[in-house]
Amino acid sequence: MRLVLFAGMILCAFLGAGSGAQAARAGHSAPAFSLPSASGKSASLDALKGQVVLVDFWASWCAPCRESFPFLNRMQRQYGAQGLHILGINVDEKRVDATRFLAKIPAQFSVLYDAAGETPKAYDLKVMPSSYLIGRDGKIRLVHQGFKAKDQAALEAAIASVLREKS
Amino acid sequence: MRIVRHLFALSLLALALNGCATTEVKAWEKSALAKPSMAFDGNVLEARFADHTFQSKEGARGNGAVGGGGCGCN
Repeated sequence: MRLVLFAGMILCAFLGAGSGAQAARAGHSAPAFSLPSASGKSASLDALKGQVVLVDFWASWCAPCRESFPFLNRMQRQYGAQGLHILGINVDEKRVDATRFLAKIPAQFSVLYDAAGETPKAYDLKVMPSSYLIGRDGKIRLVHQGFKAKDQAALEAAIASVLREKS
Repeated sequence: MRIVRHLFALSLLALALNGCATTEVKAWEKSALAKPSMAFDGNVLEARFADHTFQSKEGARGNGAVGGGGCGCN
C-alpha cells in the first residue's frame, strides 16, 4: 500500500515537469512579438515581414553577449542595405543594467526590451545568447546557440545565403 | 483512520514535490546566478592553482573535468 502511494507521488512530481512551449526550430514560423524600444515605441516582427531578421536574445550579465555585439554591429552595417534587420532583445530584469551595458558597448541595431521574459519563453530559449535567423517568409532558417569568436564565419555565411533567397 | 491520515500527508508531500518539478530557472532568468559572487570559487586563478596541486598530489589527472589517465604524470 505504502509502495503504491510512493510510486504515485513520484509520478505526480514527474508529470509536472514535462510541459513546455513548442520549440522554435528551423523551418517553423517565428513566434510573433511586439516589444518596446528604449524610446518606448514598440516594434513588432510582423512589421518586418519581407525582410531578413536576426533576433538575438541578450543580457548585460551574459559574457558571450558582450563578444557578440561587435559582430552584430558589423553584420547590420554590412548587410543592412540588402534587407537585414537585427533585433536585439534584452532580457535583463532591470532596465538600468541594459542601459549601462549599452553605454559601454553600443548597439548599432534595434534593441527591444522584454523584462517579463515572454518572448524568450515563446522561443523556448535554451542558451544565452541565442539568435534566430528568420527568412523573408517569416520562417526560422537557423537557430544559433551561444556565441564564440569562431562561430562568426558560419553565421555570416548563413545570413548572406538567406539574403540571397528570392522573396 | 490512520491510513486516511497517511494518505493525506502523502498527497500533501506529492503536491509539494510537484512544485519543485515545475520551478526551473530558465536561461534568461540567470542574472543573479551569473554574478561572480555566485561562483563556487572566489578566485579563478587561485582555484586553478589549487586544482593543479590537488591533481598532482592525488595522482588523478583529469579528475576535475574531462576523463584522463590516473598515471599522475604531468
